[in-house]
Amino acid sequence: MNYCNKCGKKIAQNDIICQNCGNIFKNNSEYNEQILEKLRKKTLTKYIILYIALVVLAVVIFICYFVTFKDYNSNIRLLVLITFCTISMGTFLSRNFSKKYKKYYKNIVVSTILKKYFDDILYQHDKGLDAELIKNTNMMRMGNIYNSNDYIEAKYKNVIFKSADVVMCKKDDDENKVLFRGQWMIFEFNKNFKSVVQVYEKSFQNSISPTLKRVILENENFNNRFRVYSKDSADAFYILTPQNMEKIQELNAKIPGALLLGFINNRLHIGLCNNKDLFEPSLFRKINLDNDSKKITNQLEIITSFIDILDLENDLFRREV
Amino acid sequence: MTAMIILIIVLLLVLFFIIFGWYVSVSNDINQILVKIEEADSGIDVALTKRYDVLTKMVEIVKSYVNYESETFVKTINLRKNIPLNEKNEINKKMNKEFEKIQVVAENYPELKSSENYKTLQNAILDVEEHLQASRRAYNSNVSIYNQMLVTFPKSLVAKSKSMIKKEFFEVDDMKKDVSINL
Repeated sequence: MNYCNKCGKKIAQNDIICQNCGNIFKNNSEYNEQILEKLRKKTLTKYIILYIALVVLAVVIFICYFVTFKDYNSNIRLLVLITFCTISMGTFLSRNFSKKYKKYYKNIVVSTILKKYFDDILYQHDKGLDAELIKNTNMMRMGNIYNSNDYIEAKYKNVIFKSADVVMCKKDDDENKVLFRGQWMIFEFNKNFKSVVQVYEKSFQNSISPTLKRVILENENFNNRFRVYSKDSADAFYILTPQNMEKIQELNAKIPGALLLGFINNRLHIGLCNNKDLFEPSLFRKINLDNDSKKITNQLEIITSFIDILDLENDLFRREV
Repeated sequence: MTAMIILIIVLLLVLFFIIFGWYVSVSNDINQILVKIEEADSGIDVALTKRYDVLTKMVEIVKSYVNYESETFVKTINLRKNIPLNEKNEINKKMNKEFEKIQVVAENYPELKSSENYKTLQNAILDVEEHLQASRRAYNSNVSIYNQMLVTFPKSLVAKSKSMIKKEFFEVDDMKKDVSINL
């Protein structure tokens, strides 16, 4: 029996990562690719077997009912009911099938690429941002369901940031609505903004009615696209310089999704509501580490673009006054 | 006939209340924008005062290194309450000139330029200038909205009835017009 050299837990002979701490034992890309592909096929086979079994069961039930009652109208209703039950049961029974595959994929593929891109990185695929962090910004309705994963805490070009995929929904008797689905990023700076400035893209509908003052800036295109609120209008003009407004518009054109920015104390909160869940592997696509690396690198550009285009490592945010 | 007269009176009353409501609404908009202009104006005052204080400290530091003539700067700048805009423009220009002079001196005295106090104040003055720029933009943006109200029909009718006149913009220094500030 082998043991993990990081946490000391027992591991199986063929394991390439520790199930307990995520430590990678064999970081050989060809070997990893083979193992992941094997795991993908195994997981996919499980799905196929489950759904074939459910379909066979459904057909048997339907034929038995048809032979017994021979009622055409009831048969149509029964067919709809059986299809619905098959899909629901399939989803319920297979909910944990891809967990292991996703864990391996993220710990091996995603984690390796993130380490190449960022310094001082902490990546936890099964953890996310604390809901309170977002709630305290008072930027948007939180709903009653909060889910977050793919937590990244790292440094890029000397800017410390946190990022995670976030989903917020409101589900009750009257409403069943996704309020936010995308990425939430928090950038930390040495400089304290001393004020609260919030910027919302007008297409984003789920912001809280702000108690702050609406600010109209001198850039007409920017005003047409974004709503700006601040405690003090001079602070909004201080942070949203003509250059920064251009940069935000450039980002908005480059990255699809509704954009939210909140300058609060020494933090810049960025929400990108793009309906995307980053770094998720597909069971139906063969593992190809080169292609997957390119895909993940493209997804990482969502984060790095904010630092690069907004020039966040620059003095406005770093100078101590 | 009487019914017709009553109908006309009712219509006239409705029309009167619509016009009165619109007048009050436009009048409130103008008053709100005037408050915003005042706020931005006081922001300029605060930034100018800070800039003056930092420049005065810089002059003192320069004096401790070289024989520097600054009497005219201290004497000619008189920061008081409710300074008219053109005077603020003049004060700002004078401060620009003084800052340029200090920079020229610092260029010739590396010891001064490399001193920690001078560097701190230089950073502080850059920050104050950023605040001044922000206040100036806030002021000019609000003045622009206000001036547009004054010349756009039918809002101009309300402005005329209240004897409103166009406001001046806070000038951008000629030397700074083409400079893109690198954040």
